[in-house]
Amino acid sequence: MSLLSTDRLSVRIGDIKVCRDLDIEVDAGDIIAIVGANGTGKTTLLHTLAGLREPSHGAVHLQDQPIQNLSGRQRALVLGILFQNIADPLYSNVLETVLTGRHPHLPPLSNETDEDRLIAREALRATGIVEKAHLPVSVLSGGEKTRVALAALLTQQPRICLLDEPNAHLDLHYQIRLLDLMVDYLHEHNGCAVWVLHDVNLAIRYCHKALLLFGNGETCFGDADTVLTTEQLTRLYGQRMLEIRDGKRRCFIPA
Amino acid sequence: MTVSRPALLAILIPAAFAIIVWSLSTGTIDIPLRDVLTALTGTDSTHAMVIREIRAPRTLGGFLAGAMLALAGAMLQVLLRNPLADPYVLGISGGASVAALAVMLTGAGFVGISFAATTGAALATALVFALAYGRGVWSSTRLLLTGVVLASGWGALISFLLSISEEHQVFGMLFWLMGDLGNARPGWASIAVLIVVAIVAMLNARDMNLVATGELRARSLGVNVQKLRITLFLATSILTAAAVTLAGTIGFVGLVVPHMIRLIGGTDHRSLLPASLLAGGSLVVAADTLARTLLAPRELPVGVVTAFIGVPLFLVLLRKTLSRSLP
Repeated sequence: MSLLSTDRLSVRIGDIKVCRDLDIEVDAGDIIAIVGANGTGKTTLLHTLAGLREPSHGAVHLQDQPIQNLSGRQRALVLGILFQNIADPLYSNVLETVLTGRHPHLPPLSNETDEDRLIAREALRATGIVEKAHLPVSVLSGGEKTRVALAALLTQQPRICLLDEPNAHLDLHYQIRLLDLMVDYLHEHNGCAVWVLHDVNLAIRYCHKALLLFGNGETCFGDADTVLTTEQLTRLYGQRMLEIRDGKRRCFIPA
Repeated sequence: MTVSRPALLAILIPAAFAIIVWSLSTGTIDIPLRDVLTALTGTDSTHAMVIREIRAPRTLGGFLAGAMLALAGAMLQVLLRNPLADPYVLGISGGASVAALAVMLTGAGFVGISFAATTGAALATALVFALAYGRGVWSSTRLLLTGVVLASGWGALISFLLSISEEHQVFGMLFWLMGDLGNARPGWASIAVLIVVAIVAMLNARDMNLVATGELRARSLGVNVQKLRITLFLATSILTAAAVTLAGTIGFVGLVVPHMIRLIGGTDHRSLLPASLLAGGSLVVAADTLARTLLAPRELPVGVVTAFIGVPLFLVLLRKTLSRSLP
């Protein structure tokens, strides 16, 4: 049983074809990168996978069930998404914001327990922001807000993690630290992930598979090693790319 | 400064009670505190009559109106995702005011004015809803813009009505527009409205916490945002209509009371909503007591006094909180 799969999925935003008849399967342990130029619909596709947007054709399946057959709460127990931007809640502090991740786990009308608070604190510690737990979210920097959003996702404890530019606004060492953290989390929860990434080299470093969006409905999905090549990336970005190898590791730079 | 929910309510409930008792005992004749309590349970002294017939309805009316406005403000600030939202921002009170003033022009009595205000508020609510919801897509921005534009339209109509009315009518109209509890005779209907809406609000309080962190995020965590929006819209419209019918347009309470509560640590809606209700009611009762005693026998509009108390209180809180939370 695959955790997340699509069945002949077609997504459009206005005149832009994001993907056409896309079939992908994401199994436990998989980390998949969505790569594409600006405006090709990476975020739209991610929202469709999260069930927040209706596809124009086809379907998204969550643990082999059509996603629209699940209630919002059932879905949120299995699937979590990190958005590009976290809104500033009116004066809400960091801990309160992260605790909202427990929402699907709590029965209606009940309050968070000490255990929920413990999970939230643990997540704040893991993302390195626990010392700011009582500050309002609005006074944090962009990178700190990303870390708060990630802590909220870890507090939600989903098996499927969709991340929209998880490295946004983060310093280099935090990019590596937090993506490493995510890998450990997925391992521990036997989960899978789909990440929208701008940095191809992070995709190579972390992702087993990659989905390339060309902006005309054409897509290319496969093992990261075979899909992320100089030719494909040159075509994807309309910019000649150069591959550099250091032993087993490789990376791309604009030529 | 963060106050836990039990602590917040432990301060606000006795405070509300004390303010109500003070309001009942203060006026043209001062009534000793012990008489206040015995009067409510019955005895036929003059003091008891004054309290039961004159002061109690007015105090209750003030508390209900303030509680409704503050609760509506707290909910609207989430619905519109805008800290500047107050119960009057969508023009629901504007519609009520236009209808009430139009009826005053014909010289109708208080019952007619109340009826007109309720009808006007209902029509204005339907108008905002129809225009903003027209194509089935309902964004906060669209709702806010539609409401603000309609409100300014109602404002123009109010100015028009004031300019064509007789000199002797204008004073009463202005007084009504600034909030007037002198004629407030709250019935069971107003009490029921506040209780029912407060329960609905509390049932949705945790969902509101999520919507405050972003609508898409709330949906991703399982909140039915569309349903919540319609619930909040209807709940706040009913509260605003009921409050305006009761006491005219008392300004300031609905905007600032929720912010005061947030500043002292009630950012969680499960604390914010009940605390706003209590604080809004208390503020209006206190303001009205001052409004009828400060320059007695002359009365001030209660909306002016709420602002006189609220503005400095809010600014002090804002200064204290900012200096503590910012590094």
